[in-house]
Amino acid sequence: MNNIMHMINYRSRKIFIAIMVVLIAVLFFSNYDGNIDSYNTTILALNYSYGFTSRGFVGTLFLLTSKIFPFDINNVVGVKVFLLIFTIIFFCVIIYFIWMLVKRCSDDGVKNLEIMLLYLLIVLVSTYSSGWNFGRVDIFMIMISLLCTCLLIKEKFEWLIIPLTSIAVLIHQGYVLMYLNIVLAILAINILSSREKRYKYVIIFVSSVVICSGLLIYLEIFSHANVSQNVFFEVANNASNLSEDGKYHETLLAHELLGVDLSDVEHSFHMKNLCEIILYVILLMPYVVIFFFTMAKVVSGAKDKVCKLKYTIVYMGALTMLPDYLIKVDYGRWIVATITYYLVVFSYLYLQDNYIRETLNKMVEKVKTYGYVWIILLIYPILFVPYRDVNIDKITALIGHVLNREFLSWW
Amino acid sequence: MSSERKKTVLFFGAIIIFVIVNYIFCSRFKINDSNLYLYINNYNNGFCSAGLIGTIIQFLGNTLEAEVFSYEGIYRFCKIGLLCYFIVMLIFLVSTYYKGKHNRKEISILFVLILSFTANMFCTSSTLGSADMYMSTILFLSLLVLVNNISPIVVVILTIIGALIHPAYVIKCLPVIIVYLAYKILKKQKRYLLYIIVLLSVSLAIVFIGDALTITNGYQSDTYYLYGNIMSVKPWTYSEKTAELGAISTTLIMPEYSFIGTTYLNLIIYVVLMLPYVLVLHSFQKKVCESSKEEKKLYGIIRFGSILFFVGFIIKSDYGNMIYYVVLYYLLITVVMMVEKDEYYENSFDNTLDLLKQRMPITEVLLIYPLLFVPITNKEISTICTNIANMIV
Repeated sequence: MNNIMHMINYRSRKIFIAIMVVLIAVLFFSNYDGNIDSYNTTILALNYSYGFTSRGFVGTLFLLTSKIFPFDINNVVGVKVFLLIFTIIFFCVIIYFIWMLVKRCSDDGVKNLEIMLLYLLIVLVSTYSSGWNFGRVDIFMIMISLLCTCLLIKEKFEWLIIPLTSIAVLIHQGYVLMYLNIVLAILAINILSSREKRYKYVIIFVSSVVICSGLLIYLEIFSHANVSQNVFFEVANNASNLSEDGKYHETLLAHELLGVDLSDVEHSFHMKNLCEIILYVILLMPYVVIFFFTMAKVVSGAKDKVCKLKYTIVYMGALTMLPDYLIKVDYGRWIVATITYYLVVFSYLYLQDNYIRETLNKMVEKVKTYGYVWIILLIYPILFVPYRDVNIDKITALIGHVLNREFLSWW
Repeated sequence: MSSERKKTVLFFGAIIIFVIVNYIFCSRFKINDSNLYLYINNYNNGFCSAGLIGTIIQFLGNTLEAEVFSYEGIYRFCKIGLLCYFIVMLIFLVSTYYKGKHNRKEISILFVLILSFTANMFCTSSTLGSADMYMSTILFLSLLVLVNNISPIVVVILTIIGALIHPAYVIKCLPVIIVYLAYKILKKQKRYLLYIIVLLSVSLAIVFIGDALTITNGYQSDTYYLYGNIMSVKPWTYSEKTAELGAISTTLIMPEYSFIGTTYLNLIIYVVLMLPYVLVLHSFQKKVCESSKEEKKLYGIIRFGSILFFVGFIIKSDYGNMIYYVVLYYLLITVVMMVEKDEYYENSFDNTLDLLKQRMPITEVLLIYPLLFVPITNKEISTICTNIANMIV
């Protein structure tokens, strides 16, 4: 990889990064409305002072910050500033990740890589600036996965992946299903591709899986605090103070502090999800077709069984999200996680694997032969951002609402 | 099916889906009270400005006994108007695509930019049912007539209808038509000179007579208040200030200074954020003017024809709509020049595109970036501008 550095036009890369920075600012101001969902403020009220509960890491960080700094951040303004700072850090990590990739890509292949990274940026920045997802702990999880990917690209300090992924699980146990697959897929690629460092990557892979899965099981089953009523109301009161409308997320607190599962109230959300995911797939059918066509071509054209296995693992890696799709209701977030997985892993592969690069380039050239449908295909996905939480996006939400009102009556 | 035809069908199929999604999407929005003046104002008390739509509503309600004197009735009328807008726009795009056979690549890029601005322009609460929706329909129809070399008398009739819908048609939509006719005159079709004179005379006469009669008869804001409360989405919440704005909005020459507020700041922010496009446009137009040595004056008129819009920026408060028309002016003029196979425009467009590809690492961003600023709203231009302006002020 270092041999091609002298061929790279750095000026063009820097202009690209400058454009991305401007885009981040524009996307942020386009989507940010100052609102923070009560779920995201309630999580900040959860911390380890009530016991080693799941999702308590960020709240503990918030608590430590309030104790370290000489001003009171236990109020609405403090929460906004705290979350804004971490959102800005999130954007910086995205830019750093993009720079890591583009500066290593040769001139002849960089344009398609830049388009993939552009979409990654648009999806992530829009979604996590909008009122539904601003301040959500997902940004920490994505940051950690992107940083782990950067360590793997740089081939330095890869051992840090183990503690970083563990911290991510402490932030939200859903990391194991949502964003750990990015790190594991890239580790699997390296295990199957690299002879010299195979042993090291196997250890990191197995350790990450064991520790993260162990933490998930513990946090999901054993870690609920079972606090007294007084403590529950104290936490609820703190959570109310952090929210602009004075509300706290009852389901979250009941689940984390009392171990009470209120998921039976989510039946109507499941029906909404079913309707919207069908609509989403129909509306994005061209991309689904291109995806499966490319997948078949890549796997069937692989030179040997090891490569076939490698590419199959990459394509199937998103299936770790399946339990979330089946059991949980935040389909907007699962869609973002799925898109992020494929864009990050394929960007990495584009850099490392000549076969993938050639196949993707050929696929793009084939789509471009359909004239200016290519331009429409580039622009169309922008209509669907920002992604939401229970609703996938504004279009499927609207069409789903109309269909339900007129025909379905599912919710 | 031949390869070329297949590409065309796919391209327009994608455009139609894009437009349908936007049309469905606008169902979530309600008509803003500030647009109701158009449906209230009518010719019952004599000729006035911006009375045509209101008169049609009265005709439908009183003569045909359609249920239009309610929010639902007005909403249905607006949705039909929006559908007509999309149909006319699509027919215009298809027609120019087929006529501009030699410049399909350039025209496709321009179509994408036009759709970015127009597809959801009237699909928000502040612009749904506004006079600009009907005026834009008339504008696209007029250009369709001119591009297909149909008799310009039809354009004169359409201009009259446009001016009757709202006097602002003269400063918002007419510049495109006048400049296009001027182009045809200077390309040796002198008969269009008569049509320019007729267009300008008739439209200005309608505007000045209408405005004069409206101002003479007084604001009649109590009529707006009464009907506004019947037609408003929430009954009896129509404010007196909205009634006053409605009355002023029917005229062209009554200034709306008191309603501008801080939207001038939004305008500055928008121009700054769109600076790359301003620079690209400047470079493109400069190349056209420099290469057209003998006909520099004509291309100078086209280049600076948008100066007419500054009248609107000074006296009116709907800056979002003005921005829409300025952008549409340049895009539509470029499209018709491509259809007319103007060599200076063709060469400059290709040179500008090549220069962009050399200098910009990812030119596709230039197509995606405008989408972040839409939908354009009536007054505040864009959510981004409002958010940044709120931080500053």
